[in-house]
Amino acid sequence: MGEQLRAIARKWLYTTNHKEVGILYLITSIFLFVAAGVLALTMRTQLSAPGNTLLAADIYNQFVTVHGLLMIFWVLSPLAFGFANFIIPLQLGARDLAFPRLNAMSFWFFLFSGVMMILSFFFGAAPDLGWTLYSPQTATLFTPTIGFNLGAGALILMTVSITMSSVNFLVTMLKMRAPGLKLRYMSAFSWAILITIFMMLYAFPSFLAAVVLLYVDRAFGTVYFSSIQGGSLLWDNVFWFFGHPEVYIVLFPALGIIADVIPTFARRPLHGAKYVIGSMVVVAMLSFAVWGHHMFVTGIGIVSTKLYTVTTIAISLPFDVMIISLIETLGMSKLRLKAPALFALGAVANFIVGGITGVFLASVALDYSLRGTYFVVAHFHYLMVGASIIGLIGGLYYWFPKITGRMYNEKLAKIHFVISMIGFQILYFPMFILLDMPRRVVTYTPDTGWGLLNLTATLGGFIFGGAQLLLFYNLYRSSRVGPPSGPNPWEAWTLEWALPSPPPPHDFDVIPTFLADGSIRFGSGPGLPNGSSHSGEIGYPNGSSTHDGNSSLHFVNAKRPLFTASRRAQSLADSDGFRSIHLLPRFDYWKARKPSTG
Amino acid sequence: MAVSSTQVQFDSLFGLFTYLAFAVGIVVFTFMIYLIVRYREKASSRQPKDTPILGKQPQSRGHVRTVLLTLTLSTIIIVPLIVGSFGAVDSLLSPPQQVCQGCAIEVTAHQFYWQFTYDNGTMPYNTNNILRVPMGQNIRLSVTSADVFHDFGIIGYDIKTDAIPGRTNIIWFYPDSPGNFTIQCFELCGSGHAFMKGTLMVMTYSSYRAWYNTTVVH
Repeated sequence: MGEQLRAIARKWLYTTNHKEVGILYLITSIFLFVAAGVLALTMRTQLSAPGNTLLAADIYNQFVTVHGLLMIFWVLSPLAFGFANFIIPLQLGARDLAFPRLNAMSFWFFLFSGVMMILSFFFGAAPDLGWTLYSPQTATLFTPTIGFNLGAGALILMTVSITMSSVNFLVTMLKMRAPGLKLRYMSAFSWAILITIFMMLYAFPSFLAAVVLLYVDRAFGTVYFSSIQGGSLLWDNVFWFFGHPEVYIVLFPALGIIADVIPTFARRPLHGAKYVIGSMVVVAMLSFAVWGHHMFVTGIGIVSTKLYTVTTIAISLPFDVMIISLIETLGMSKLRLKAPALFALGAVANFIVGGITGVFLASVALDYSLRGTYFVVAHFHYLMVGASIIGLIGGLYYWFPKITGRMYNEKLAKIHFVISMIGFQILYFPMFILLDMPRRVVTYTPDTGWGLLNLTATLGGFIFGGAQLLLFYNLYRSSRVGPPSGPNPWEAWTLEWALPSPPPPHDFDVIPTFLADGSIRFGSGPGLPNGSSHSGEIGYPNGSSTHDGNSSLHFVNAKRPLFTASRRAQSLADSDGFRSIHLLPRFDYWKARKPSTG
Repeated sequence: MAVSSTQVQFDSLFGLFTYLAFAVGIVVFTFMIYLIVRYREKASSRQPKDTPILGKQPQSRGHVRTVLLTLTLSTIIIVPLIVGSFGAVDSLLSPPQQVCQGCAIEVTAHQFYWQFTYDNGTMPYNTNNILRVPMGQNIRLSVTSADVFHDFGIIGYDIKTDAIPGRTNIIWFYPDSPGNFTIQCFELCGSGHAFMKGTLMVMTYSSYRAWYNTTVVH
């Protein structure tokens, strides 16, 4: 027993396999989701009645801050990148990410930074000034606790993790696609991840610089941000230059999932697929030119506020194209309303509400009233919870059969959907009406008349939170006793569904080739890869073949000599698209488990 | 009943946004729900001809016409929103050059109270957190902070500005009717943030003058 446990622990501690790292990401971020969700429910309980004294003000402020930071950095992105880890190499026809050990390192940085952020509660006080960390309150003078240093350190480590991860994905997606797989053949999810990575690459350096300078301010008494000469606005600018792309960074993976799930269940291709992808690219670029709308009332001047109003309202145009295309996909379809489809459609519905109210906040004139109120809270929760989390839950149901090989309980999942959506609306819609109530207040007086709406929101919060227990139960139980799902339960078209569920450690016995018309071929004939069919009728069974009738197709991208001297070079050659697997079939497994990271 | 010029402006612009939001929302949701109900899988559903299959690229679907139509309609909707916002912000950000005596007030935010200094240099400590202004006059506030980032907001007036150390932001308004309004901090500024409140006391011009004349000039 002890031996067995040690073996399991070793497997998960030492793994570099993209699928196992992906599962680690998913499970860790779900645990952190629960932690941050408990913080949120405690805050909602505190706000359920005016003058409530459940939480003291300084505790409440820590809860507000850590809830926001955890949800944005340690839940939304890692949950999405858990899927990306698992699915992207499968969709690209790669056996792993480009740098599997770096990938494992990203995960451990992510995990320990998350733990560090939570530990900050026990070192004086956790960060307590909102996830935006406005200066100069971050100065030691106003926030002397060590807990804040710990939180800032956690943010630095988290950024390191994200940077490593984005480089890894970038190399994988640009260099390790199966022969013939052009970028334009990629699924919407792969595209969304690729665009997200580019946004990360340009946004996070600004954040890293900001947090490092902040840390230096606190540790060595510099005055980058605590200077009275513009320190506050300097932070505002560098933070929001990162902060606005960040909201799309947490949204796009979910949008990608939605844009793959809806066509799959509607049994029709994505309407205007290239325009949807194009819109995402436009949004990604424009997202770096809208950050000023977070600073409308800091006094940045009339001309720049007008410019930011125009860019911010204009960014709704590409989103309109995406949403209308997603809805039009349903036309003349045969829509199977299974749980993933329900969650995808629910996410679109919430996205429409969140997007429309975003236009309100894009107007500098309305911002003079709405800034810092619960209207803002409602708006971004409609996007971050309503679109991102609901969309990602759709992804959990969608890929659950692929990840575990078992089917979840559909009826329970539908109940989960209905309760989640109802709870969500009860939770967040009242906040739109609370458009006078300041955010991040620990309490309010009865004469404000905000009590009833807050009570309603709290009730909704418990309904929404409680509904997630159904999700956890369903996934946990089904992963043990669910009926086998087979390789492609949804009759989807993307490559991961060609593999057995769950896929073998090395994913592909034979690396597929994409033909000029976009069809996929495994080995000498079109069809499924081996592993799922042992008959040998199509493809190659279990990679035992050392000869490929169409091997020339596999060498299309080969830029290196056919025979390489060392394993290291061999593995580099692999990442360049040259597949050595036909020559060295027995190293498949070894390479997938313990690759050299060059 | 409008209480101030800024509130009138906010209400009309917010109304415009809300009408258009509901119009767009209703059209889009109706379209979506119709398609879901109409095309959900039934026994009588027809099998679409272009169903994507594993191992094949899905057929291309959709036309640039749809995209252009979407973009055109969206542009038609957002232009009035931008124009309306510009009009409102032009007036919000052009404070009157001349205001009456006692109508230009400096607001300094502290952790966790508001300090109001009148143009005769009065800094009435005994009336901390109470901002007295006369009705029917343009009021100009110069807002700054003595310590951290705050935000000065008057609930019901629909007006706000950040109180930032080292910077002075100017807002102005024209109160229409007397009464008390809540001033509150709208940016998390520390443990007393929720209690960092004040009162805007709009007085008739004569009673304001009477009060103003009793204040001590330093």
